[in-house]
Amino acid sequence: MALGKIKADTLEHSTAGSLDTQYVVNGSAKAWNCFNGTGTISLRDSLNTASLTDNGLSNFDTNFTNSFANDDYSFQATNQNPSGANPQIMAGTSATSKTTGEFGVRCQNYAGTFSDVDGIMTTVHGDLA
Amino acid sequence: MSEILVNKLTGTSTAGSILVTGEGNSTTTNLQQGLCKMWIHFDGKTGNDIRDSFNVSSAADTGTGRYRYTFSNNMSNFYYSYSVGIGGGSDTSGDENYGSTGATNSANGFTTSTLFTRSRRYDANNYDIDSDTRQIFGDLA
Repeated sequence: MALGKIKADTLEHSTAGSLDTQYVVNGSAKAWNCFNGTGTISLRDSLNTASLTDNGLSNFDTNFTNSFANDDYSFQATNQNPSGANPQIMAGTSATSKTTGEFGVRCQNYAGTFSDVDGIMTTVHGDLA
Repeated sequence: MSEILVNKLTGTSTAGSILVTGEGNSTTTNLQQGLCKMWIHFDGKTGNDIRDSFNVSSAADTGTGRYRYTFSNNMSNFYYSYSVGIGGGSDTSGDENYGSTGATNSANGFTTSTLFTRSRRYDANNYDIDSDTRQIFGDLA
């Protein structure tokens, strides 16, 4: 079967209302991932994430499969500490580690100390190249 | 302007996979993969009620700063990506920035049907908060 292709500006559901397709294109997450940030880091599940780079203690780059049009995308990062003893906060990223091809994340605890955590989750919204 | 009236979108080659051409008019992204599969705005301070949500069947206050959200439709695994936005624990200046928190409970927080969360303030104490918002991206079962 040949691949289908629909061009439309609006999608309308019978009861739930209509949606301009710009929200589908602009509103869909363009990348997300869940990865292990301790020991040998590894992707657990992802969209548009080609690989990870471990730059040292709690210093990770997430590398996109398909690049973004610019580095003005919006990203969120969250983490999980299974022990529950010392929840971490995300330290964000530096200007040099946020490009069209990747962005970096770091985690630190409430004492301001960088530390690796078991689960790191990120989501990116923006324009693909 | 074209318009499609439809209740369900299904891929032709693979039912659960539809590609959307990106803003640059060349690269494609997967529609199903990029959709938010769950979101919630929960009042954890006064009413302990769901203000608005998607794919959430119930919410429970399991302790100070601790909440459990149960999904209407389960995820296929617990390696989904979730984001958090929280605020309004008190009216004291500076208390609004809780940062991200680890999801923790005796079952390590994540399951395919529930998300357990905990919100802490900079002083390392758990706090009930006025607005606990979460979003999940991942694979539906």
